[in-house]
Amino acid sequence: MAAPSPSSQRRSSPSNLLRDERVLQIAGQILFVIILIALLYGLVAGILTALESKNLTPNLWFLQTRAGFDISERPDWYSASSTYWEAYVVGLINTLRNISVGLIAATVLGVLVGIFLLSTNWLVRTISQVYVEILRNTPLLVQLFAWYFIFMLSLPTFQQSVSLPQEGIAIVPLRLLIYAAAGLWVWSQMRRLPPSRHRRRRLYVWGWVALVAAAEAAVRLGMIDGGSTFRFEVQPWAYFNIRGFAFPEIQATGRSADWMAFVAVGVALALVLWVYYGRLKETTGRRAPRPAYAIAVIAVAAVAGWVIVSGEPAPSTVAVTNADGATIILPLEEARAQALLTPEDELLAARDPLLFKLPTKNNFRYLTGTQIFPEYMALLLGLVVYTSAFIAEIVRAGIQAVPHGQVEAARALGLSATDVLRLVVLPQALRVIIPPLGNQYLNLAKNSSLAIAVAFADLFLVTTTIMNQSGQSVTGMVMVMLTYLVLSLIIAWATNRANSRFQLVTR
Amino acid sequence: MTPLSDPQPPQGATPGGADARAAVVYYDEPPIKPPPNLVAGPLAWARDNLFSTPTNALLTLIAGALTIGAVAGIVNWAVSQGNWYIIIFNLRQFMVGRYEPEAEWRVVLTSLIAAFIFGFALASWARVSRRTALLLVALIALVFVIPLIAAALPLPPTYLSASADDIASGSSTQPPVDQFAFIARGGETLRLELAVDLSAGDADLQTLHSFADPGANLLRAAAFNRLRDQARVAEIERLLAEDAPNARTLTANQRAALETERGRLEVSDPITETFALNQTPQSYRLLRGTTQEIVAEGVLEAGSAPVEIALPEDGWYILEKPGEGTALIRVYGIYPHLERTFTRSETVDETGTTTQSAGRFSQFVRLTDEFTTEETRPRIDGDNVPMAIIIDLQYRGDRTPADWLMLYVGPFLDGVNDALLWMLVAGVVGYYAARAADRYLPSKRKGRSARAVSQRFSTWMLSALPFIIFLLIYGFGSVLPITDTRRWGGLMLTIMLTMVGVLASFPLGVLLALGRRSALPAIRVASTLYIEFVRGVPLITVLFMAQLLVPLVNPSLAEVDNVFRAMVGILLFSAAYLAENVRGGLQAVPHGQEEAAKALGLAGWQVTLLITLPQALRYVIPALVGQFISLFKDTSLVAIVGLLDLTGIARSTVAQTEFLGLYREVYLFIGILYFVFSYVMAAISRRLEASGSGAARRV
Amino acid sequence: METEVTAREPIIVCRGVNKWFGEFHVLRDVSVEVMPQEVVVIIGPSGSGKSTFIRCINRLEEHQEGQIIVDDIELGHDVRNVAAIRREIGMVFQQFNLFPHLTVMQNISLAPINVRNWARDRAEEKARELLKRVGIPEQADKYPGQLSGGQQQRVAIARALAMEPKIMLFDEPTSALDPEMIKEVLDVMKELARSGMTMLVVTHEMGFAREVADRVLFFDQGRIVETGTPEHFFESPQHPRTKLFLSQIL
Repeated sequence: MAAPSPSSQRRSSPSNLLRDERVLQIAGQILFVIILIALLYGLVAGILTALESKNLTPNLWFLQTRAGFDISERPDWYSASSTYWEAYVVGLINTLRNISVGLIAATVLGVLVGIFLLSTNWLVRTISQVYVEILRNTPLLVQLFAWYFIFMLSLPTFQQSVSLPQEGIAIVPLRLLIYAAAGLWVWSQMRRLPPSRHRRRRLYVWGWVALVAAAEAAVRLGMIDGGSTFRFEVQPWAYFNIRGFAFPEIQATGRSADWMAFVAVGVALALVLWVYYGRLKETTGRRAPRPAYAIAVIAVAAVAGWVIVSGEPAPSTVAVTNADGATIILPLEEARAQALLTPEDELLAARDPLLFKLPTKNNFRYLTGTQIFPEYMALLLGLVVYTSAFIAEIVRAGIQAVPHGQVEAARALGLSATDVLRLVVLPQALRVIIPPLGNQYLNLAKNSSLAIAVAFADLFLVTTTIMNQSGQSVTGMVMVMLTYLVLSLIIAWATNRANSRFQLVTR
Repeated sequence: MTPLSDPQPPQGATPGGADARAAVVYYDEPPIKPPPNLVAGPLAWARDNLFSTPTNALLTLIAGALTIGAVAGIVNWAVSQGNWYIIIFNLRQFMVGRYEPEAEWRVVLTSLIAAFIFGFALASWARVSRRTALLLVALIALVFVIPLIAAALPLPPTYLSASADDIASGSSTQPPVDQFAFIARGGETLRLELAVDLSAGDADLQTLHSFADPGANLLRAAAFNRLRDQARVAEIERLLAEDAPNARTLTANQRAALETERGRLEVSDPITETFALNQTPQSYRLLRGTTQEIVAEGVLEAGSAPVEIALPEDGWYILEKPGEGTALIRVYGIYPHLERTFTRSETVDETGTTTQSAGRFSQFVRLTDEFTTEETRPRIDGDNVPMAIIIDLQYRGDRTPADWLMLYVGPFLDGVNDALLWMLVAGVVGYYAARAADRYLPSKRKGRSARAVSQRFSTWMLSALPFIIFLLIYGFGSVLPITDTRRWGGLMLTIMLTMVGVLASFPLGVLLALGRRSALPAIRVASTLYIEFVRGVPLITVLFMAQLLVPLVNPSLAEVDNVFRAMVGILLFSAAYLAENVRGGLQAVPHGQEEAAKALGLAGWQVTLLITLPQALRYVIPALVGQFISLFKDTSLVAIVGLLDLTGIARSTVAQTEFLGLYREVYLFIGILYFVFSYVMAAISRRLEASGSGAARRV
Repeated sequence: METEVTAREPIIVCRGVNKWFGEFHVLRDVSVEVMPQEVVVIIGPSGSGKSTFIRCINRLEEHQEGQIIVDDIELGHDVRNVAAIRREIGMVFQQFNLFPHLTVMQNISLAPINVRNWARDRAEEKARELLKRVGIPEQADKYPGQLSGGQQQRVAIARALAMEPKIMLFDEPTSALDPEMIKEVLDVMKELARSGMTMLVVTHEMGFAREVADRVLFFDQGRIVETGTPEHFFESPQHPRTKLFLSQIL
């Protein structure tokens, strides 16, 4: 507002100065600022004197003293002898993990439920509505308590874990392959039918069903031999129990880097192809299945890389520490036979670039696999499920905000169902969805502080522990508040960026 | 006019008096046919809404199975497992916390006034259809009828064990209980018999479902476990037998695990035989608890008629059943009770010599009918006699729906139905008061809606309601003594905190909203900073900060109790969100309004107060209700800073020794309470939004 | 300070008024004098600054250079001057800008009660009188939302008149109206002009300008291109821009 304002006020006398709105405004603001500062000063001074009288003058030096408490979920470098500052960082890491995992999971679940809310299936729609209403109308804290004290604590004991899939021997009759082949053939025939004979399709489908049913019945009744079966062992991929959740672990070996290089080349090639076919489409109008090509290229690179990398000759010897504590060099096989290899050595010496370890356990603890503690699981479940209800409602409202005329117009142009969704509905819906979605992300970030309810060591809980031990409660709380403020600002900034992009693109 | 559904041809003249001019008359109307191929009807509905495509059909089946499973599971648990005494006996706590009993009438009055005003408001903005009214009446009738039915049903018996030695099964043992104390009302009859129907075999024994002491329960559990193990052993043997080398169906791991399990399981002899249950006659003696004089004595024998003993007076009794063999005695007339310990503030000092017991006394309450006695529990030879406390005398086994109805639903409804009825009456009175006001009080202004009078009244009453509530609950001056806020709790505290959060933050919120839109940069920046700071931090940190800082700000505030500190925190927090809502309303007021007001010569503050704010607030009403709902839920966080709101009470009740760890019952109950309140408010908000809430008058 | 205004002394004096919206020069050296009881009609293409000009006269917009003197008071940053001038100037807007949360009666009596500090009875009496004058006495207790556009605009005129202003500004009062309602508003304005009110009217109603105006100002690109009596203006326009404009709308 750089308005040129020369001396148009010719009659400004001193008596008028007190009536000049500009003077009044500036004076008012100065007065306001003075009062505000005085108020704040009074508050802060009062608090400081009170703290000083208790010998608790706020400072930051306490951050360097020894924390002396352990944290259940922590990186390797943290121990009870670490400092308060390190404890704070561990809390921050845990909070960031909660927020990031929560954001993704809540979005996925929320979008799914949001789509269910628009389902043409009455039952699915109603169940989703009930889901949303129940979750939105009860406090998150109560939900967290319920997840932890009711759901997690009524899971089976460690010994009687629920395993997914259940361990056992799966028996698959080979005749299923024949049924499937017949089905494929019928399907291919069906596709060839001209549109005028689409009613025939039903005949084909029912014909196939009847054949399969007849064959199965004959086998069951013993009229014909069922043929050979294919059997294989099924190992559990995940365990659920009162101690949380365990799932497969992926370990990087000494050859991971080599293999990753192959994959990187594949990704680069895929990118090149993507851009090339994009250009081709724009210049010539020829359409190529770009996602399929990209996936194929990356897959080929990955598989080829795997074969080549694992085909490299293994090192014949390995340096190990023997029982006397001396480092000796032994042939690999011999070292293994003497059980001198540490897990790290095994990883270094493995032939495969990645080791995929299913979770295994004995009666008391897990031997392999990644595990999630029940506190973390309850917290994550609570946050994700709660937020998903709000996101679902936002997604539903966003999609419904696109006028039906848009869909009709797009259909009238001959766009396919996916193209209608991708090119017409989603861009418009996203414009409506993103701002409230960002709000929900903010809420999720702030709500993650409720980890204290299930005693998960996040930023807030760790800091309250620090506060209780060091007595620096005001400083600690201010630190937490500022940290959350920064997190909120980052999320708000990201949402605004996304929002402005969509507003630009669609207008 | 011929009704459309009439299949007969029209008689007489064609419609419209056409007979005078009729030239052509059609005698055969086209017939009205049913729609082809099921266009209407439940089947067609199911086809269109549940099975329209194969995917949909699959989804329907999966969703249906999941729903039925979940609902059946919850209902089954609630009926046959849940211990609802925790709700019934803590209902007062859940509602008002430890609010002074002598001030409880204020809560009652408050709810009646609120019900009246809501009824009034309902009549002035909506109408209750006949169907809704009937439904409401039916519900209230049900609430009264169910306790009557429940009271008419016979109470389930109590099973007591008697044994010479410990009853042992697996890793658990129960020492014999020869004497068992209980409370009863004078005039009641005690009926005793040996439960021979249960001791016939393990299959019978495991069906025991009623109140039972630990010994009896152990017998039941032992029978159940034995039968289960027996079945499991058979199952394992079948699996191992099928797993012959030529037809492997188990992994090596599974096989090993099964073999270990088989090795661990040893099926004992039938429990009834092991303990020779009810084989020997059982002598009994009934003593008066205080004096230990004998009321009755005798011997129970298998197959003999039940013994009936009339109890002379209220108070404690002791049933002696010295163990000879092992016996399972069925008793009618003994029910679990719980002990409540009170501290009397004005105790008689001369009597209490020991400091510990001075001023403390116990009350024993029978759970089935709230019969209460203050007699001290009996002691024999200086030892406390084991008693029928709820921890020991629990309901064992799967409860039947009838027992559920009688033991929990009946008493619960009995406890709340009076309050519900009076609130309904107050609401109905309010409803008709509003209709009477519209009919008999003339509206000053012509051309306004028929309900203008009642609408004006209800607006005033709804605005006054929070103040009425606060003053009644808190007290004012010398008229109503001030209550101790530290004793506030339960739903009452939750509602109070929410109300304070929304209403007390109103002035600050509106100022912040105006500040954020101010033309003066200093005020704008300060308001924006405050709003964004508060909105960027979690409520729990604000509450913590309030707990920490309020006493530090000024020495005179050091004594402010937790509830007010939490109120300060909630107020400061809520103001920022309210400011954003109000700002939204302000933005919705067209700029022309302000210009027109200025052109009329109104001063800046007059423009805001008379023109912009009144319109903005109308826009904001639905958002305000939304904020009320979210704050209603968010106040649960005060439980973390140690307040006993609904969530805080829940946390403290599950720590009671009698009801330790009954998380499901409690969290389900408070979840339902929270849900009902928020859902109703949300429904109101939706209706407000749909009706445009004052925006309807917009140009 | 109530001075008897004689016909020789202008009630509005604008000298060299300049205004910018950011970089855009909206008003360029506008100088006009308006005599008491004069009816001045301002016409011109949209975006020519005519609305901005009359909004400057009661300082809904600030001018940055030049002088605007109304009734001997100069408009500047002096808050009291602004308040005093707004009391003497009534304004009618294109979008009526009635207050939807107040009844017609409250709309009209609001300013007299709160600005002139009249007693409520006096203000309501005045309001009823004005409603009769604009021809809708029976609508006093309705809300603006219940009235038609023409009725609303007549209420807006009554609202402005309730302050007993010396000057009335009309900012395209008929542009938001359906054709059949324009006449009822114009009739009220004609009656007002005949009663001797000083009026500045921005409008596209050429018939009204021809019939009622004492003087016509033609605005284009922020400056006054041509001015004159209606006869002169419509019959023999001088400036090519005026000719073009008239040829396009007539």
